[in-house]
Amino acid sequence: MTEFVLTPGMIGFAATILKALFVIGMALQIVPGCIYFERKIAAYVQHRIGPNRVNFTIGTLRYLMPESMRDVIPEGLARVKLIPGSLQPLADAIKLAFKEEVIPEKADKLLYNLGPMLTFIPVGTALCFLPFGATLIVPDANLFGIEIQRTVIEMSVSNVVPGMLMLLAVSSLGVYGIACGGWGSGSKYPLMAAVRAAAQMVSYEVPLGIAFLIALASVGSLDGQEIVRNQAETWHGFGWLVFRQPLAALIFLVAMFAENNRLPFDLPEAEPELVGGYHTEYTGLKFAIFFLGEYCAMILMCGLFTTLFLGGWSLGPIEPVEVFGSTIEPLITAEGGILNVLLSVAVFTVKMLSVLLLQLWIRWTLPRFRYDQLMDLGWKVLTPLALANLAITAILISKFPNFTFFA
Amino acid sequence: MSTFLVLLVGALIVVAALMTVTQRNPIHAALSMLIALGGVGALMIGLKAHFLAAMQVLLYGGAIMVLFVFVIMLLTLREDELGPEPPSATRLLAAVGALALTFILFSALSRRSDTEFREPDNDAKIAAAEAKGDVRRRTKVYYGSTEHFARVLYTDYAVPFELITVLVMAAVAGVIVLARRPDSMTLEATKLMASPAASRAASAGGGAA
Repeated sequence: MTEFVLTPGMIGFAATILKALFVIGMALQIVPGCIYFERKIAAYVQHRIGPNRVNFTIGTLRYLMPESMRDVIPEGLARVKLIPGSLQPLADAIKLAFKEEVIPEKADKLLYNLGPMLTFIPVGTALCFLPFGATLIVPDANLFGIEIQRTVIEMSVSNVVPGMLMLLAVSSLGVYGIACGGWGSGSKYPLMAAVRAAAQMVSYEVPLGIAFLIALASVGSLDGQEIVRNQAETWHGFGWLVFRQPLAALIFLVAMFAENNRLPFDLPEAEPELVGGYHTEYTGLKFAIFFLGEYCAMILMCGLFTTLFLGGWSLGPIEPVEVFGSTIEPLITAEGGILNVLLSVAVFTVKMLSVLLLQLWIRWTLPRFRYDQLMDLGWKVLTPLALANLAITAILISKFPNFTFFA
Repeated sequence: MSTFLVLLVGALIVVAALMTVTQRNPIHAALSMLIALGGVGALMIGLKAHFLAAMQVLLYGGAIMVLFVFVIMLLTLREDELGPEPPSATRLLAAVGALALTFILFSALSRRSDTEFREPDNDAKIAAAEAKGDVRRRTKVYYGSTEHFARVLYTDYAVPFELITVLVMAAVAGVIVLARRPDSMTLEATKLMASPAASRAASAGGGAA
């Protein structure tokens, strides 16, 4: 019997496909949950109940049982709801899917149809550069007559070296979706929203990019995995950049809200002024894709914030450290087997969802900015602060390369 | 990169570039130009110059073309406002100019570069940095890497780089002088329009160099 050999190339190829499916699947799975929690948090903040009608009840389990056993569940217990309102996103999706598709007569058909796609595609592509877990080492093994050769699998779909820069570059193209949709609708209000969105996103990309640069300069690498490892190697595993560069983290956080068009910066979607926003003329699934792209962009930005400022997938040190004479073994190491990787992915997900929760929470806490306030904050406050922070960081790094506060 | 991909992306770039000048609708023209710029980014990825590709997409795609689209949207040209077809003399001049530019670019590019890339001793450097306890110096320098690009830009091409910066600054100053004419616009409107455009042009132009 000739032995079948799995070379690193073959394993890597399969792993890339699986990772891509995992990343897109995760992003698309988080969106419905995100919509549910958005509504629930809104209700909580405003002392309402929120969605509580569409859900499974304990009685639903009866349909899984044989007919003779259905009476086991008493009527009172059968009415108890399992997570009240949890199926609301599904109901929304079904509603959107069955809506009539209306294309305005004055619309530019090509751009009108391109709009939703151009919102989603850049975000989906940018997710590929996000490092979401520790490096997986597949050891030499022999399983059922199949020889497996040692392979190193990085836990990001694409691991080109300036990966973080690629991520920023690709995600900056998201504005075209809004611009095309708004302009292509052939209607005044979407157009105004698109103009606002373009100006706002371009303006806030400046402080966002500079805060990004501060993080990259503090670490000294453009590689996502390297950024995470550096944070885990400093300060006994807690040299997260949010502690080392708090101002940059704050600037990034604020600019992140503006980039995602979230409150308090949701001027492109200000309903009282613009009817609906850049998606006023959209119905059905095209509107749904706008929605999906927007939420995926939020997930992307939260993942980026986690990677840059919250230590990414690391939790504590990634190599043994000495504290007060005793050695502490790392919980998650930089490279390792499947358990290590799963744990690191879980840590990353929890951190990312925490930032997402913050985003949802702030939306229902702060009122909307006025347009001139928005521009003033971006150009007169955030950009100079970010530039000053970058200059100080650069000077400190070049003068004291081993200065532990920054590096 | 395989020849097939070069030809495919190259064809895409040529078609998109042609559409940029033939489309009547300014937004369609701007988006065609975006495709052409993105195609150049793809070619750079094929040459393993990932940093340059990221810069190409970030600055041209994410900044300059957004401003083009932004301005076109602000003007919202209708079909009758696009103006008459340019006279044939203008077209002829444009064609001659384009050919001359092609010739200049081609002759500049076909000249062999006199700075050869020398692969530095990465492992020794990284070991030295780690011995000093400097964890920030582990990145490898290879052809097309960020380090290589920065080294070439700030040593061999430092003077052209600085000259382009001055040129961009002059353009920014010119924009402010033109936009700040008090009789044509109110101060508020000028502020709103000039501030993102001017600052963006500065950063974008600097990076394009």
